Amino acid sequence: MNAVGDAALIVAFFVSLYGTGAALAGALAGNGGGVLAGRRNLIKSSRLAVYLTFGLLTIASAALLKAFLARDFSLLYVFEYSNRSLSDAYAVTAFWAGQEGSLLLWAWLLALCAALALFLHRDKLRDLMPWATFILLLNTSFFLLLLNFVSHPFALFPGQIPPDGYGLNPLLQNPGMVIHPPTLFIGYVGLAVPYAFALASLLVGRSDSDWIKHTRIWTVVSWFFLGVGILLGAEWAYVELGWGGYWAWDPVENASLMPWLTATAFMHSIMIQQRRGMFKIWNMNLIIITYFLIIFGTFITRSGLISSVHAFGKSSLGTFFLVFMIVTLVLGLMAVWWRRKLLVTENSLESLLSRESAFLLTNLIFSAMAFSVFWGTTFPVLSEITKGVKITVGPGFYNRVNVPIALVLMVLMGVGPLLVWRRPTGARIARAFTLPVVFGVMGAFAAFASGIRNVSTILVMTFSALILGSVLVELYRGACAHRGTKGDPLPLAALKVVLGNRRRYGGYIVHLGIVLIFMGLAGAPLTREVTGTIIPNESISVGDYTLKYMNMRWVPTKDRLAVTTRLKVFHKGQALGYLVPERRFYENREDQPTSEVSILSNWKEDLYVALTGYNRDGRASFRILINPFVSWLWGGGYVVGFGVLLAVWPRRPRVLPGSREGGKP
Amino acid sequence: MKSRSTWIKFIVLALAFFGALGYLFVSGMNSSMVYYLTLEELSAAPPESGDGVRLAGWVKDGSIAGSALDGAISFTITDGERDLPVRYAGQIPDTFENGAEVIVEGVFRGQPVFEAASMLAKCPSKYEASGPAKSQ
Repeated sequence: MNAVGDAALIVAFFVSLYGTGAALAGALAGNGGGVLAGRRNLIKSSRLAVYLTFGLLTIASAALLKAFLARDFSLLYVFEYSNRSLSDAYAVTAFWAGQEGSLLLWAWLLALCAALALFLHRDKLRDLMPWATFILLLNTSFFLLLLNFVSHPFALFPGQIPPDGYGLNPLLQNPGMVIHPPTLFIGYVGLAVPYAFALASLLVGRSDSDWIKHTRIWTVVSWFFLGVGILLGAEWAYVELGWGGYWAWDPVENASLMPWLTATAFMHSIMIQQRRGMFKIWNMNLIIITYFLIIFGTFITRSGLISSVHAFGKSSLGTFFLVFMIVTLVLGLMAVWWRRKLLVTENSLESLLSRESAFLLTNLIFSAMAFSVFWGTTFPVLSEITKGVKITVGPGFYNRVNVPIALVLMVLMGVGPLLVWRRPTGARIARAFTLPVVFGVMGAFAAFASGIRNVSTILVMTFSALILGSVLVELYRGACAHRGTKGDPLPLAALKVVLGNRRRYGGYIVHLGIVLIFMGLAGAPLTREVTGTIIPNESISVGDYTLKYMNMRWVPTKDRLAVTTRLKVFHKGQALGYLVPERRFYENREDQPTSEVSILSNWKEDLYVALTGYNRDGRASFRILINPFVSWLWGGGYVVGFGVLLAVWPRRPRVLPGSREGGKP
Repeated sequence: MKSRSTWIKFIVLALAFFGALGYLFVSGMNSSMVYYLTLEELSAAPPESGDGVRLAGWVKDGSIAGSALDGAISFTITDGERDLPVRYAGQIPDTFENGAEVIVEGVFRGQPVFEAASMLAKCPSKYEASGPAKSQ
């Protein structure tokens, strides 16, 4: 089976390469004027190449998966990332635990997206297809080149096949890690489709916004997966790494945040292009930069250029990604420059208080955020080149820049949806804003009354209330208008309005989810922390909580030994339950214990306890944190998910008269 | 005409935005800038006392003394040739062990033992397996 997988990879490379050439030839023939003989065959065969590449990559992935499930240590990769005591679920996860497997997963997902995009849009974007196929296959070929010649997942174990593998790092044995990497990757590769269609539209020379219409769902869904991936990574860090935080502005974390920010900007600004024909050049550049940032992130993760606690070891992959990244960017920008005359704006800005200008500001803000992250991440390299010393910037820089602009962003989220297109009147603005502003003021009072004195937290609560107010006003107004025409009771009218404008209200629900996430983030400066070393029956207090240390036990299981401590939790004297933080020693990794933190969570705050040290005499050190609002962060993720689902759920196809089912009433 | 005056207003607003952004960038940089040095650079050209310093190296085998129970640990980081004793009183990462690659950060004061305010150990999400050579 390994030989089959290996063969599938190399055949896929040549098929993909052939398809790239065929698509290019077909596309060029089309641009040359009249339909040349054989053009249709070229295009057809390039499309077949996409499907075939996907099939072959599926075979290769299945082969590697089977090797993992069989613990076939004749493969070096399987040996390095699994062993016999690993459960099957985590043996599957081991697939993407290392360099080679994660590249294979990436390539497979890319081929899947390419095949899906071609299949779904084959009739609607017929003239763009050859170019889009060319770009998607060029990307796939690049990954297949790496998989075959640089980072080979089917490399054999050198020498005698060992009886057992090295095992998967225990820190990766967490449910979050099962879904975090594939989720991120879906987000990454999904954005290759809008990139390919945008460039194809340029190369064909179309000035309309048809490519946006057909790629909107790709953008929204990819954006969603990318966001979920980031959030899952944060949650994994929170529960598994034991430092009590979820975000550290590490270069590799930043690498996933940057394309998410530019994709967010892109999603907003394509709305103005669709509605008013503005910002065409900007949108092109945004999707090109987004895809560039995806490859850039991969480059910094895998080249070892920027030192990160996450990065893969130094490898030759860096050079390949560097070249690929520059090609992605330069070709894209050149195509935009070449077709700049096609991308003239159809309208201009009429008022500062219009929805267009709110969208434009939103774009500036997301771009500024992305740029600040890019700046901070690359600064060590820049300063080394220009000054000869490596200078890094810490979380202080990112927070300093991003907290104020995030607050402006929140104001825009509250205000933007209330603004009308083109030119609003003063009276209309005053009417629209009264209620949301009242909400905002109430939010400020609520924050102050609950004892919060941190300025940015108070502002976040104020603006959150403002945004909530503006969404409610929108909904109320829509429902009243609906009731006026149909006479439904208000709640039913509201429901019908939401279901009738799912894209719009889905977007508002996403905003509300983001508000919850911002609320969660705003809790960070209010964290309280104590550490202490105690013996059984002693207690530690933090805030309103008292933790009584009951006992310590040594619990052996199949693949590990755990030191388990038990703490009884009291809140204002009332018993709440137990927390059981552990340290675990996995087989093969006895010298590297892993923390299992224990968390008591409610809507207001998390009580977070890590066992940081212990002694056989029962003495134990604990690190105890009260993290306010953390559950809002994860909850916000679900709300965003619901909003996205509402916005992109396919419409029921309308049945045309005369079709088969057309006769039914 | 209307459109032009709108654009002027927008440009003024954008300038204010970029001005504020520039201010945030500069003040953010100044407050969080840290020199990232190798042990070789540190010994060849020590920074000024009071500068923030970030150092990368490997935990020297057998150099870890103390544990979280004692409130602080001390260990030595090495690049193979040069050594630097470090004291650290915060959260100890799970991946911290003999031979681990670590990054320590703190304020440089020229004293013999470096007081680290934070420590990062190589994250295992991209854990490079030690391979057959090490485990056999």
